[in-house]
Amino acid sequence: MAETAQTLALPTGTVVRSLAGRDAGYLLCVVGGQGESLLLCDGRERPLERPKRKNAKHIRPVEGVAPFGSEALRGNKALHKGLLRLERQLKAAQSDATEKG
Amino acid sequence: MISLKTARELSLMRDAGRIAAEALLRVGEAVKPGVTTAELNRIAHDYISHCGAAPTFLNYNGFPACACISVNDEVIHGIPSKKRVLREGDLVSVDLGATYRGYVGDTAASFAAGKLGETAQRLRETTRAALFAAIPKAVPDGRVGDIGAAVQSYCEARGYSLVRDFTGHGVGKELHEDPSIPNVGTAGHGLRLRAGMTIAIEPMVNAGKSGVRVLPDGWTVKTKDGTLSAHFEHTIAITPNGAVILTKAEG
Repeated sequence: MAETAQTLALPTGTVVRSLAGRDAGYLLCVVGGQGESLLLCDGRERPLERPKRKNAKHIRPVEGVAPFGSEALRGNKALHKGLLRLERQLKAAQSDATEKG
Repeated sequence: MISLKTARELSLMRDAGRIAAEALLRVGEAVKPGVTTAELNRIAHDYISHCGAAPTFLNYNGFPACACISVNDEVIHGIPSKKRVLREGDLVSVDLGATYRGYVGDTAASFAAGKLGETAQRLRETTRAALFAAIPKAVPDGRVGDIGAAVQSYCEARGYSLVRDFTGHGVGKELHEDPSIPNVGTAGHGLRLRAGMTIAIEPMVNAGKSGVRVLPDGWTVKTKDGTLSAHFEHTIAITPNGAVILTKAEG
């Protein structure tokens, strides 16, 4: 059975940073959506069963980060831990770059 | 999310694929003038159930039957009906799925009710050949675009157009998994294919223009210009040794 052509701006699993709204600055993960309207979760404030709908222009994909796979999206706990771990790694990389600079 | 299948999972998918392929074969043998599309659906349902599998499409997102049966200008997702009686020369596309021990086999083919006209016959052969032109592109380190490009170049060189609003897809525990497998594309572009992926390649080829519309029943997809359409599909496993067709009947 053919699938309706996907028009999602970013594929499921992509990690993004919110640029606007009360979650601005936080990392979120794309879990679905349609076109420019994306469904985002962080596993805590926005659990997988209640994703946040957000316009693609109000988020920015985190560059150089592989999309989350099925393991990370298997539950809210795993997703939240994955995002926290990634945030720590990004901050560490940033402070390394600042020290070297 | 793309899931890579283990050898055990591939073996289960081969079983599901074989059941789906054999059901399709039986439905194909029954396609002839005077038969209703509901009767074809019953044949598919009985065979799949007889094998201890479940008809994947039944109730999938509310689809009310076990097989999609689309006639002439219907492209895909036709709902079988007691009122739809096949006539001599009808081009009948049958798409069905079997879920066996948690894994899905998804396959489709266009059949002739009686003797097809020359246009329909040529369209049917081209669509089938386009599928077999694309299957060898499903190899590790290939790209999704290689598959679409193979289908597109084969069909467009013969004056046909491809449906763009619907695509092939990943298949496994779910009927529709990532990635999407469009029937158009650019070779060398798109997602990189990996061993362990299982995908459904399914060219939907129109004799006229590529535009399609969905009927008010919410399912049946027809060509906008009323021209004929054909559809073939196989579930494929990408292995280190190349593409393996999982929806193959035994013998």
